[in-house]
Amino acid sequence: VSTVLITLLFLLNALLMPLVVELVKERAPGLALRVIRLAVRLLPRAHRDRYREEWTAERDEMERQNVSQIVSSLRILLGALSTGWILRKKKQDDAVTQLVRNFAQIHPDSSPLVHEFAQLQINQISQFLKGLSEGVGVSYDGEDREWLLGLTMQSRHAINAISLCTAHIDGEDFDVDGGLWDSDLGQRYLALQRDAMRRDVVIRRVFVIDQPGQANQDNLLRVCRQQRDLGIHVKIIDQSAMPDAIKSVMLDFIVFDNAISYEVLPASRNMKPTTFKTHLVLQPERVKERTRQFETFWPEALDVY
Amino acid sequence: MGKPMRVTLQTLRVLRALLDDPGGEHYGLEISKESGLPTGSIYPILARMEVSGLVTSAWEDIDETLAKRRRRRYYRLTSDGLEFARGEVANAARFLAPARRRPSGCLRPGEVSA
Repeated sequence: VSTVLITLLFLLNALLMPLVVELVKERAPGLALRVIRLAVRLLPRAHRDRYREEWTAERDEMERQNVSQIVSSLRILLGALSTGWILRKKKQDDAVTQLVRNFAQIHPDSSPLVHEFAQLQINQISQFLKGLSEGVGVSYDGEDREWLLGLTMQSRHAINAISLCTAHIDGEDFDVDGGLWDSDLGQRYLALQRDAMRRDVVIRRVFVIDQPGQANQDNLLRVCRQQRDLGIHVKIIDQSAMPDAIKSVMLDFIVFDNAISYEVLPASRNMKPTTFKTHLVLQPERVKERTRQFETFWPEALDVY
Repeated sequence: MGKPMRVTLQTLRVLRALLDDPGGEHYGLEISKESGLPTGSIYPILARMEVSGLVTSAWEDIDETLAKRRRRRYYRLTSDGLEFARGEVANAARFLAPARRRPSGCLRPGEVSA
C-alpha cells in the first residue's frame, strides 16, 4: 500500500509542481509588489515614499536580472522591521536632543521668570511622558487643546467621537460643544480632521441631544452639515430615549485609533459649559469600554439630512 | 567622540564594500552583491549608517523614460564615514589576522639556549 501511495504522490508531485512553479512565476511581480507595500507600511510615514520608490526600483532590477523577486521582497519585509525601528528611534533622539539644546540655549541673562517658566514646562513634559509610559494616562485641569490637535494629526485609522450638546439653564440658548466649532480651535480641529481623512482615517461623530426637539436646532444642523460635507460621518442621538444606566455615564469623548480616549469633564451640564478637566485614557480596558459605548450609540443614532 | 554605531560582522562587510570605491556612489542591490549580504539585511545597516552621519543618500539624476528604468537611491560615504570605515576595517583585519609565528631559533625573554 505504501509503495502505491508513494508512487501516487510522486506522480501527483511531478504533475502539479510545474503548474505551481508557473503560477508563482506568473504572479511573482504582483506578489512582490504587495510584499514591498507591506514593508513600507512598517516605516514611519515621513520615510515611506522614499523607501517605496527605492525598493520598487530594486524589485524591477531583480526582475530584469531574473532574480527571485518574492524571496528578495520577503527579505526586504523582514529588514523593514529593523529599518522602521532605527528611523523611529532617530526621530525620538532628535526631538529629545532638540528639547535639551533649546532649553540650554536660554540666555543666562534672561529674567529668572523665564528660567523658572522653562523649567516648569520641562517638568510638565516629563510628568506627561511618565503618564504615557506607565500606560495609566494623564489629566489636565481645564482644556488641553494641543492634545486634541496632536492626536488628530497623528491618528492613522479611526476617530470616533461622542459630542454632548447642551441646552442652557434658561432653555433658550442651545450649545453645540460649547461653541467649539465656531472658535479658532474648532476651525483648526476641522482642518486637521480633513487632513486625517486624506490619510484614509475614518471619522465618525455622534452629537447627543437632551430632547427630541433639539434635533432641529439650526446651529446643530449647521454644524452637522458642515462636517458631513467635509466627509465626516455625522449622526444625532436623543439621550432622553436611552436607558437611565447609559444616560448617567454619558460624557464627551473621542477615541483615537482605538488606542487613546480623549475625555472632557465639564464643570456643569446645565450652565454654559466650561471644561473642568481633560483626561487622556490609555488603559486598554477603559478604551475598549469607550469604543463599545460608541458602537452601541452609532447604529441607534439618526443620519443628518 | 564615541563610536557612531555598533559594528557587526555584517556592517563590516557593508563598510568594506563601500570602501572598494570610497568616493563613489553605491545603490542597495550593488552593495548587496559586493558585500554578499541579502538586500533585506542591507537596508537596516544603511539606515543606521545614514542616521549616524556615516553615509548620505540622494536620488540618481536620470530621465527614467530614456533610461528605461526607475532612478536609484545612491549612497556615498561621508568624510566621517570614510574615516570610520577605514578604522573599523583595519581593526577587523588586525583582529582577524593569523597570529604571527615566532621564527625558529628566537628565544622568548627568560629562555636559555641549550
